[in-house]
Amino acid sequence: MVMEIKFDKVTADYQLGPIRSPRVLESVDLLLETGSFTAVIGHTGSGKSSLLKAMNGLLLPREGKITVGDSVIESEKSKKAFKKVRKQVGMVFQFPESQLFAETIEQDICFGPLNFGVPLKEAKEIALHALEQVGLDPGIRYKSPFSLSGGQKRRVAIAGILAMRPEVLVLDEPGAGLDPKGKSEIMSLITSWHNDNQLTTVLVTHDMEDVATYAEDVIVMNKGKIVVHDRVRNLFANQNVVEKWGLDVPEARRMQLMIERETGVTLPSVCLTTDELADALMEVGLV
Amino acid sequence: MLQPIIEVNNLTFQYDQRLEDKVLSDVSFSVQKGEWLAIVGSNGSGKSTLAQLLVGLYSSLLGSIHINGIELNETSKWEVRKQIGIVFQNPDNQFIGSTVQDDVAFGLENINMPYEEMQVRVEKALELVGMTDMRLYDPSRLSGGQKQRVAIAGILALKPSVIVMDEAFVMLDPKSRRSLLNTLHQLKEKEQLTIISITHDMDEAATADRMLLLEAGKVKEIASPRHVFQQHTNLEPPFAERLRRKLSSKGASVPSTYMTEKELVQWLWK
Amino acid sequence: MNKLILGRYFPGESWVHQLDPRAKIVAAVYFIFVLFLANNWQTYVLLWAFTFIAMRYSQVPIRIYLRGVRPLLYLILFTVFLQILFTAGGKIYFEWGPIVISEYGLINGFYIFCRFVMIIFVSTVVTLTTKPIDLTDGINALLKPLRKMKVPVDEIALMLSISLRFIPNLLDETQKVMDAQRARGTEFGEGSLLKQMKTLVPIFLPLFVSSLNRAEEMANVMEVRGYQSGATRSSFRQLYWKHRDSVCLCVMITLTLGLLWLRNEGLFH
Repeated sequence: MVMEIKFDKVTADYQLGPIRSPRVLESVDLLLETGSFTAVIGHTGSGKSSLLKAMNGLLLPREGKITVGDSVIESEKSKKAFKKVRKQVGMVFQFPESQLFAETIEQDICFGPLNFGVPLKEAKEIALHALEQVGLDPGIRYKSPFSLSGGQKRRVAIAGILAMRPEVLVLDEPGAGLDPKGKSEIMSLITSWHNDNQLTTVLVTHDMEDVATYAEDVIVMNKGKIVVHDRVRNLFANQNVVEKWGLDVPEARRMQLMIERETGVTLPSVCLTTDELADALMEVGLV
Repeated sequence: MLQPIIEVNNLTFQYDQRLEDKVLSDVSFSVQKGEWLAIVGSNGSGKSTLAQLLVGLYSSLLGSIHINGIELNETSKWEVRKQIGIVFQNPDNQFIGSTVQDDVAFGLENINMPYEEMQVRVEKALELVGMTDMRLYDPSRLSGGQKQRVAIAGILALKPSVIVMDEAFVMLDPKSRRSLLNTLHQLKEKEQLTIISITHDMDEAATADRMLLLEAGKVKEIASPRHVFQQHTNLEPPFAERLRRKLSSKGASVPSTYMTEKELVQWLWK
Repeated sequence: MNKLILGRYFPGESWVHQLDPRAKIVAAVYFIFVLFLANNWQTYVLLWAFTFIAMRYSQVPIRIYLRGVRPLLYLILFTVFLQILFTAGGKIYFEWGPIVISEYGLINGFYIFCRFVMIIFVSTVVTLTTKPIDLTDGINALLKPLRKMKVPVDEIALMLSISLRFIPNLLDETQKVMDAQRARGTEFGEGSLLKQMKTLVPIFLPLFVSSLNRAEEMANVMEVRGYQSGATRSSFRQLYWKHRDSVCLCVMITLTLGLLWLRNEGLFH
């Protein structure tokens, strides 16, 4: 199934009463291919969240159009298109546990599928499966979601999105606020879901380790514009670009630069993980 | 030896007396003036409960807490809170005032400080955290990191000896986290502050003077970061040490003990 | 929601903006009382003159004041209508069974209309030119004497100021939860009333839960920062009574004297 996301000169802003906000997206062109895993980075207020919302019809373009699969979102478009797009694009907001509301975990997970017209019986089966997918015991499904710990709530909320069987998964800092173990568990869950289901995945993050570890492509946003869209390795290889946009680099890359500066030895490749850096150091005979 | 600024003895705590499992059991440690102590441990190890006990939000079942020589109890807690302040995780829920300076003054108003003195204290505290220019801003115009700075200023205005950071960096992006940590390290030196930081961030913990490792409500270890990372290999150490371990597992001849970034780079260079 | 003008602050640095909130509150409340002294067209002209001068000096566009009247227009017209029907006297213009429209009825109806609109205009002058937090301070200061009667004035003022402080957060959060539920396929403002009510549960429940959590966290923060209910607190927010505030009160006294004088020159006496 082809599930490309395409932005054509998309410009958008928010209408707040009589005040119009400055443009949150400015003439954005973008193509995300089916099955790609893209990280979106940039400073707070650079338009990352707006980019995500635009993919889901939560933020309408003032100019230009957005194509998701075979649906088109334009400024004046019937609500039917949104419904389809929202079913195809699963969106995990920051701190998604704050959207839990139902009496039982099962009901909460079924909420999305039921809204999209899945029959109750089938929705329950999906919920059961989704719970297993996020690593929770299906036995807890009749409990109140509010009785769970923070990390478990997060998983239930993510299960509620996965249960919609989206073909595009859009995530805004899914690991925020969790301890390192909880965070890496959530991230590997998302990665395996991405791989198993051939999803198109978009991840907003501040953490360069996430970018280096999980993503293939990276988008850098600045003032509502996409200023870089490249392979992850290409971005971090280009120190000029990194500095121009004030980006952090992954720990391994930072260490590599420090070692190269201190020892005067240049390593043969750009290192993004501990493993790569260790190999490179051994290859040049520094250890 | 100097009298420690914080002395915790045999602290035991449980939320529900009827339940057997204790959140903290028999926790003892002391902290010296001007020291930075990082408290680490996984979720549910009792870290945050310990922080809340230190500022008198709960009272313990057994054991005692002394802060600056005063034993913490129901009557002394108001006095003790002039000595020890806490910054919590969520920057938004700590902002009581309607502007930056009003918020910094909140604690001073509570101890009924005269207006003229408050002005001086607020001014000074805002300067220490670098928020003077934003004194009239309302919280909706501030970033998370700036709100945490205001929270710190609100504590500093009371001229305390101890600041407890209860996972106060978690909701900040890496840049504001680093810059706030820098400010805190400077403040610690300049103002002779004692800092207790409850954290998941091992890079941050590694910069502490000592680390306290909590496991299931018990003190597993309290020692220098070097020692703690050396002894407890299940803790994810800072990057340099991870690299050392990786090199060692690949059969490279690296030193067999914990290394900081500086040490590792120097060793590679020689 | 965006249409409601009463309770909004319009930033500015006009003469009225710079008045002490206490002076403004006292003047507005006093104005409502002196309105009842008016009984003929001369007094109403004087009151209108005062109202327009206050509005002009606030440097807020007139259309914003007019928008403030709009939501209350039906209530005003209804009252005016009753007044016209049930006041008798003078020339009779129209009669149909019990319904009589008389000269005095029309005059009274017009006066009532004027009173309503002036009250709205003058109170909007106060709210448009005073930050909510300053209003709270002003009310707090004016109610101080009630403390002797064991009314927890300071607690109420603190409660008000914290509520005001959290309104933007609450709106933000509402937007976030709405977005999240829309992403899960909810549609707002569609279907039958019952269906619409149902879509509100996934919005309000999370908001309710997070507000409770926030309240608990804030209570902890306030406690560790030394807040004790009932204890004497000093105040960092100081109000300064300036020259212009005394001028403002003098204007009010002059207005009263003017009204008293014109009142006796009236149409009916």
